[in-house]
Amino acid sequence: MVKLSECRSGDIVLITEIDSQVSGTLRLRELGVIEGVDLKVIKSSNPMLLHVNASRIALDRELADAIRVSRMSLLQGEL
Amino acid sequence: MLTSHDQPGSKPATETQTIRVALVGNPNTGKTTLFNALTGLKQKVANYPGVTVERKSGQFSFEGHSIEVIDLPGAYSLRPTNDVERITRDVLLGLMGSEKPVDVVVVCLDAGNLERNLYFATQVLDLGLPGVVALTMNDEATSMGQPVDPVILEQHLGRPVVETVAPTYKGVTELKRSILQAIGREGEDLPWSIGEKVLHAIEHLAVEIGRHKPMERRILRQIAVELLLDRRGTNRMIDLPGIRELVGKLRAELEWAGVKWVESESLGRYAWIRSVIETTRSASEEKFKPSRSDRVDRVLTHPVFGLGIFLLVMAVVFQSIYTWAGPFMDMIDGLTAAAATAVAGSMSPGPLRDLLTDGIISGVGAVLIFLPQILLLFLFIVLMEDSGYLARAAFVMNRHMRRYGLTGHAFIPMLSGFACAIPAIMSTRNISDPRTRLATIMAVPLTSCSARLPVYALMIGALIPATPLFAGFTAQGFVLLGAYVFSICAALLVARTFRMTVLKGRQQPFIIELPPYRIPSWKTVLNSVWERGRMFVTQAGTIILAINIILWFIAYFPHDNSLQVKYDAQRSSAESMLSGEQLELRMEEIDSLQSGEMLRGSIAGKLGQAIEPVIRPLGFDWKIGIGLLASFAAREVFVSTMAIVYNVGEADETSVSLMDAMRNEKHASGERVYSPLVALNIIIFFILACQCMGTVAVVKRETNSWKWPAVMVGYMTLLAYVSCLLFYQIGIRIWPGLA
Ligand SMILES: Nc1nc2c(ncn2[C@@H]2O[C@H](COP(=O)(O)OP(=O)(O)O)[C@@H](O)[C@H]2O)c(=O)[nH]1
Ligand SMILES: [Mg+2]
Repeated sequence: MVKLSECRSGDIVLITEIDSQVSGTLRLRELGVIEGVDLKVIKSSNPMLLHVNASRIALDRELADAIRVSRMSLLQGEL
Repeated sequence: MLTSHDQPGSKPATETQTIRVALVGNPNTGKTTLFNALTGLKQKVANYPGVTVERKSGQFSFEGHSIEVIDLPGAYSLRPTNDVERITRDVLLGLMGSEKPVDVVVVCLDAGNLERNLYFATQVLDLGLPGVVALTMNDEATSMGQPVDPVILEQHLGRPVVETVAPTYKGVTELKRSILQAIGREGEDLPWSIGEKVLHAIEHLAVEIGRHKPMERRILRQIAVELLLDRRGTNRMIDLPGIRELVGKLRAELEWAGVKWVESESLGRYAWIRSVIETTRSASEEKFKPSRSDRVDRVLTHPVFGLGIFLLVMAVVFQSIYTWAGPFMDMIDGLTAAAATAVAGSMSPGPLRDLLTDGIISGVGAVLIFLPQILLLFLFIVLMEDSGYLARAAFVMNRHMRRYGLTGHAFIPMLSGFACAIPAIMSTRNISDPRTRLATIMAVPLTSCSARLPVYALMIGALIPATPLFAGFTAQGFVLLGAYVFSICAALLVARTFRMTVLKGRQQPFIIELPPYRIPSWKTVLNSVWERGRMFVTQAGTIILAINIILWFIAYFPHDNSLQVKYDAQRSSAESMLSGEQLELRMEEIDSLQSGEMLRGSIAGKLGQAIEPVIRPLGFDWKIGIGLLASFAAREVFVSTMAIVYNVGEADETSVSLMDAMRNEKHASGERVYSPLVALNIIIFFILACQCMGTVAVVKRETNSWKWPAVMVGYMTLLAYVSCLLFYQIGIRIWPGLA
């Protein structure tokens, strides 16, 4: 498990845990960033740009610190 | 989620009653386009650049019924994070006192983004109001190989689902029919589950709230969900007696039982949504396939190229405003002069004729002439907004805005400020952090609004040479661009100063959605531009006209007739001594001497002279002083005031234009009044000074206090005066040639 903020562009990851104490995470949840959802990091810049479901969501890296993810199969990540 | 069948259906509206329909949905789902298609009203797609904040409503009749549609602001959730979403929640939950309850709610669902759209949709449908679902953008989804089947969706949602493509009016009649049929029919509860323990706590809380505020049961439950689960706490119901304590107790109990209550709503809803999606859409072979928008974004959101392209776009916008508007401005100029001539020819000389020609026609004409430029500016802003580019600009600018204590969200109000500060300040409702929002409100009036454009245009046109610089840019275009760059720098520095002093505090996180790029429909774009242009003209026709008439009076009276006699004597002596061109020149000179002396003796002249000692160190004379005084209420009045001050637009062929009059204006010592340095200083003054009653009023309304408008007027006046003083005093020493 790593922090989402540590992921690189192109990574496809599965969300495993979100720290609900961090402000802003509730809005992310409402936008579909919840446990058990996979997402693709489009840009690992600051702000990060994510592909979640059909949405493209940009968020601060500090916020991405509150999200723990596990990398999906490496093969997919390389695509 | 919550089962209830004990609520009697509300009575169907009779034919004489107006049926009230609320249109809701996520941002960028085609809501406003649908609103326009339904009502057919000449309505704007987005009321203001940035967001739809004003309450917008329209009317249509269908099969003998009269139906009122309200376009509510786009929202991602019924649990609001900003004032815009709060409006939507308050109207739907009946918490907004001024709004009557809605009869039917129409939920827009973007077929290309069902998961996220369904989240808000299920929240709305849980309210139990009679509902219809409008499935938008299914044409787009189909062309991308992911069509959504409305029939299956209808089975899951238990409400009629109508496929609409509002830009082509597809499905609009069917939607109207479904709205009528839905009246009085409360929807079934959706079978999603929030978890037994949380549900229990919600029921308990709802009963308690209901004891203080009797409301429809399902609405009570939604309020209970919000009070219990949303720690952001934006609902005043928490202040009902005993409720805050009960919420605390219930949360502690859930915590004790190991229930993840914060997560319960999002997990519960999305679990159900996923099961729905699986049956409505075939799984795509490649889940994260980059879309066309993603490919475009690789460049446009690039930290270097993205910023470069953005700056280039802005440069082209400002240069084209200057070049494209030219022919139209000449046309309006010609029409104004013709109108003044016609009026002058059909009336006998006297104060009334002077009022009509010098006061009203030339005054309004002097403002209307800038309509082409303002429409072009609006056109570019609307195009950026409707195409989806504005969100990318916010994304790229976020990093840079952070340095000034703001977020990318503040970028949209700042950019809107280039059109008009009033809607821009209203669009700060989109910023959830109160300190960031206040700092943005304080800074927005410095961004160069369109009312300043006439002043720049006059100063640049009259006094800055059209020297070519490079690649089609001239010194004039450069100064114009410079004015805009200067204003944005000033705004950012002011925001930063506020954030480092009185508005110190941690930054809220930045979250923004980048909607897919869409080619804006020319119909909605023209509609928006037309509406905004109309607003400007209405203003020119009312406020500005009123100020003009007052100005004309104080510039005309007390009308000293002995002066008229004195100058008439000079005219007849000139006529007897000179002829031809010489006579004409002498007559012009006499005219200008007379109007100068008359103005000096007038009320306005006295006022201008009274403040001259204060503005003299800025390089301004008392005539400019009159303009500054007059434009305190509204900047655009400056141009028409100068037209009155220089008495141009008088209806005869010898009259010189305002620009010429300014170029030829001399001090008593023979030096020119308007040097390029003075022109630049006037531009600087107009960028920095707070000369807009509308802005003061809107800041009062948005901050709900007189403190912030007072702070704004105070700091802007000080900033303008000190900056102009420094610029002029340093300028005359460094570039004496420009003075
Ligand atoms: N392809 C397609 N485009 C649409 C549809 N409805 C709206 N649009 C376009 O989507 C964009 C956003 O629409 P708008 O009404 O401003 O969305 P709002 O933010 O929900 O009010 C505009 O460019 C519309 O022309 C639709 O059903 N299909
Ligand atoms: Mg809209």
